[in-house]
Amino acid sequence: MLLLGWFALARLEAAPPSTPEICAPGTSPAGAGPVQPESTRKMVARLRAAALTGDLFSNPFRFPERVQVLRDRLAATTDPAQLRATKLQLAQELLNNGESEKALHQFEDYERLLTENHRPLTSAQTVMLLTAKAVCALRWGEQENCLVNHNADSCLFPLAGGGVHQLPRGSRAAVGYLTELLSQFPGDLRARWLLNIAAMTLGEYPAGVPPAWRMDPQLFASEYDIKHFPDVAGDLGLDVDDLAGGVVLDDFNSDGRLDLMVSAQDTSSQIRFFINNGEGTFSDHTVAAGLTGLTGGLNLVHADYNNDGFIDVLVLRGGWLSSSMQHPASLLRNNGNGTFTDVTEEAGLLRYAPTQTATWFDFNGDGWLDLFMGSETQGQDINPCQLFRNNGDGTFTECAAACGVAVVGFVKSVVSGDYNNDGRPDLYLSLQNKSNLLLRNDGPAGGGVSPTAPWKFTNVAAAAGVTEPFSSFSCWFFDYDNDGWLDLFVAGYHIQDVGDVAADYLGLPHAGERARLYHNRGDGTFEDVSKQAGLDKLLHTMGCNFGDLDNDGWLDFYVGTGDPNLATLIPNRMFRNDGARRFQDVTTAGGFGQLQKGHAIAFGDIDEDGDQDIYSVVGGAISSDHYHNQLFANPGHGNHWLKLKLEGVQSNRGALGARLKLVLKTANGERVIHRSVTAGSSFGGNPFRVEFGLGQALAVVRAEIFWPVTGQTQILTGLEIDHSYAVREGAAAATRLTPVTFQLPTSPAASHRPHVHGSGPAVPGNPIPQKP
Amino acid sequence: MRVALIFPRVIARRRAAGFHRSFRAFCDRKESLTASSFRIPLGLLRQIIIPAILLAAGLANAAEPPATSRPGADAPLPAALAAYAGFGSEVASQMRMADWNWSDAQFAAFLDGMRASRHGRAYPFDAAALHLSDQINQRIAELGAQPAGPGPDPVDQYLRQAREGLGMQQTASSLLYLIVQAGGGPRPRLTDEVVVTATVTAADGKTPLPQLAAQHMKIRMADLIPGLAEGLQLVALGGRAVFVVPPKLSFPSGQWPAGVEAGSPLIFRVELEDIISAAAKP
Repeated sequence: MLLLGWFALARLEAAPPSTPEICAPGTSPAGAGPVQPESTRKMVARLRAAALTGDLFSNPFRFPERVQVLRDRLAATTDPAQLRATKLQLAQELLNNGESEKALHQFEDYERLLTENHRPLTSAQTVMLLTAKAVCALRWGEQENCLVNHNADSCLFPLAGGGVHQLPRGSRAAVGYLTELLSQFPGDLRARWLLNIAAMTLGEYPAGVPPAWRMDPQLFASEYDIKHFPDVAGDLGLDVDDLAGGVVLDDFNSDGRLDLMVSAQDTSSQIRFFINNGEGTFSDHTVAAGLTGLTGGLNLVHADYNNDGFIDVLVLRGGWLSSSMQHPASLLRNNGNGTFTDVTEEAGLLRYAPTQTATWFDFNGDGWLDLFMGSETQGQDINPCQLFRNNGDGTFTECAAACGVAVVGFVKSVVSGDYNNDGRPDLYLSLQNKSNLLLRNDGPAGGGVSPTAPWKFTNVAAAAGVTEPFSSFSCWFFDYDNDGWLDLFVAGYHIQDVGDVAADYLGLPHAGERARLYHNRGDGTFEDVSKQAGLDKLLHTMGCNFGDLDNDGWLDFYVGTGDPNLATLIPNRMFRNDGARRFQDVTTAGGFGQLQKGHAIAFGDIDEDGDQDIYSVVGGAISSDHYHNQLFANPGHGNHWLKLKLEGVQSNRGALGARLKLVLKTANGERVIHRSVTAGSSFGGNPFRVEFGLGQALAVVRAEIFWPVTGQTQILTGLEIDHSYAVREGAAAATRLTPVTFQLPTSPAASHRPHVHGSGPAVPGNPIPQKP
Repeated sequence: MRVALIFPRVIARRRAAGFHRSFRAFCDRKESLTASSFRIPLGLLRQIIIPAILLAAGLANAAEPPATSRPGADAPLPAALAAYAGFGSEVASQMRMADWNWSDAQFAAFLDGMRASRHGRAYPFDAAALHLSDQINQRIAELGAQPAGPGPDPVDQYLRQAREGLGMQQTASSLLYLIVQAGGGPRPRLTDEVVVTATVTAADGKTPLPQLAAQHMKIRMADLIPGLAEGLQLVALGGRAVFVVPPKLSFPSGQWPAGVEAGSPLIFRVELEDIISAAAKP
């Protein structure tokens, strides 16, 4: 289909190109924060260059220039066939550039050209034109309402209340196009889905949708009545309005509170850093942290790689692009004084292979976190994955080939976890259109003990039964059933169009790729329990993460959904773990159904009140497809909690990879909860401190912490429920912490500020201008 | 008897590999396919090939140890021998040899045993070798091999190979499908008519079946064989798909067209060109 084709081609169009002014070396413009180190300035220059790579039609971030070029080309064209082709292309580019109304007019012009001399339209042309016009009209409505007149209900599916458009002309027009389309093609599930959405935006759903095309509201009803989580990002100034990106929610300045770093993939999107002030506000420290000009990043992965006690961040760039676009990943070292330094080159990590996934793990057990970076190979653009062994001196040595993990494929996700409980962290890689890999860590290849020796990894995915889905995306290890063995969730990622999602809700056959939940049998193999768990659904997931929504001790998860296609308006989905029996869809009850494109997710107790809040990065890949991020404030569910912040001594200082077993006293006897120290999923950064939900436990009997590097199990007693502790590896007792608690707003402010692409406080001195 | 049992299966496997190669091109999905996609069924290895290797070693006794490993084993192979090395690597991979955790000396002895047998002076397949054989079979079973027992249904085996090797999806009815090119918008319903162009091959992926092919053919969905009717509902307008239709979703017994092997899977490559809905008819 032409329509799908151009949506796909346009998937990464983004912001206007910049005409940056680079700071002179060693200087800092007024208000631009500290003077940046040379290494940071070099990275800023690299990113500036990357923003301008490629010609106009090959660089996805030079999109708006194309509109002008096409306008000029159109004005100079007289050949009818060329005129039609250029007109269509211009219409597409206008839509992708956010000029929805103009795009609609261009599509109408194109239709007139097609039907000159009473030429009839083919079915394909009819479907394409009506769908395109409907999408233009829907986008028009979204821009006028969800963005400009935004409120907390905007774009929350199923739309109601404040989500109903005050300016209905866009959605009204869309209803007309979609109705015409369905009249000719009643089996058009894409049109049916969009018609129901449009009716919701007009406040006319469900009664206003003809019964034959109506989607029953019961299809979207929650399976469990969890409390509503209000979106309070706007109240706290955390509603960054940008494209797809990453998030890290963790304590960057070691003051015990969770701070926030957010990125977006556009080459002109400034990485943002927010400090949690501990009294219900956040401060934007982007400039003060020396991050000015560090842009882009589809994903962020964090760790204390140099064991200095401060969280560092790896920025992953170039995802979905070829290596020719020259987007480098970069390592931001936390200096411990509120600033970051880009140390990519000196660490030996400078590379231009396109990537959107990486994992930190101590594969050789030397107490230093190593790094596996998944790369994207497309056609002849071959980029093997890389494994960087941490030398313990701030540098890394690449050793993927020597360790047998120089995987070549379109790697969408990588996560680490000790699935077989042998003390060595293993790797799971999801690949696009290939069988996924489970790389078992078998230790030193020669049987020796030196951490610098070649290491052996063996792909056991087929034997373990975890090769699917064939078209997959983000994934994670977690122990969803608290049996002490890490289970595995792998998101599916393939649809023809949003009609497949409609079919999934309706129980009709479709060709979309479903998610997989693999239960660890504890014998090296996994069982696909997706169906039993209620997860054999078409979730079409990009970013995601897990946590404990209601502190019941069972891990739940939230998936950010969608794809670059502007017509793929599907809700993010939240699933509550019902005691490992089933995952219940609680999207509607909790207010989590963001229709705009969902990416990185993080769960963490931002206000230190004992329950986990959720930060969600929202925004797509096309420049017009920006949206603002959300912070869902947990209203509390009356259960107990415990937080443990671990510090490694012989192990890596951040304790990444440590395993925890909590034994609880309950009214029904003892209960056991298992957790790991992890950032969670492959696409979203949870804090490393372990936040346990304890349900209605009466007391903590003991905590057992297994440290893989030493093989020792540390046992702690005397921990009180509803408290936080610091735990040092090997110490006899935990240290009780007294964090300052506050309450996030329980309801969002009546109105949010209008959206401005790339919003957030201005970044003075940013050599790459922000979007208009 | 053993030889008679083994070789037909090996030949069948080679034929299957040929089918897969054709099928790969057939599907136009080169980026999703790798050489490793075409695996020898592990159950076959466990039941046939490993015992064959080990038992073959017992056909003759050797009075003296054979020569040690080939000198210069790490030197680049001549091109004419690369295929043999590739085959050897594939066999080793399928036998999960990496998971046997043998030392280099043990592996060298294993190779010597094979070489000795080839030269007619094999080592005895004694109790120790039998014990080792059992251990290996057990190890492979632990790694997820098919359980011992009656051989799998050939159609099921065929479908499994296609599914696992080519990344095809499978419906509950066991139809295999692969969306080669996504369509968009309308999906045909069972009450609709469709216009399709289709090419069809036999299960080997190569033998054309022109009697089943169609060019811009207008047909009622209800008139299609069940596998195609099911499959086309998965495809949006303008989409192209490959279906492997198992016999139970194909022609009724006794109604298979002339020249088409009854009871065999059929491979359809279909483009959905148009949908004429009942509601849209004048």
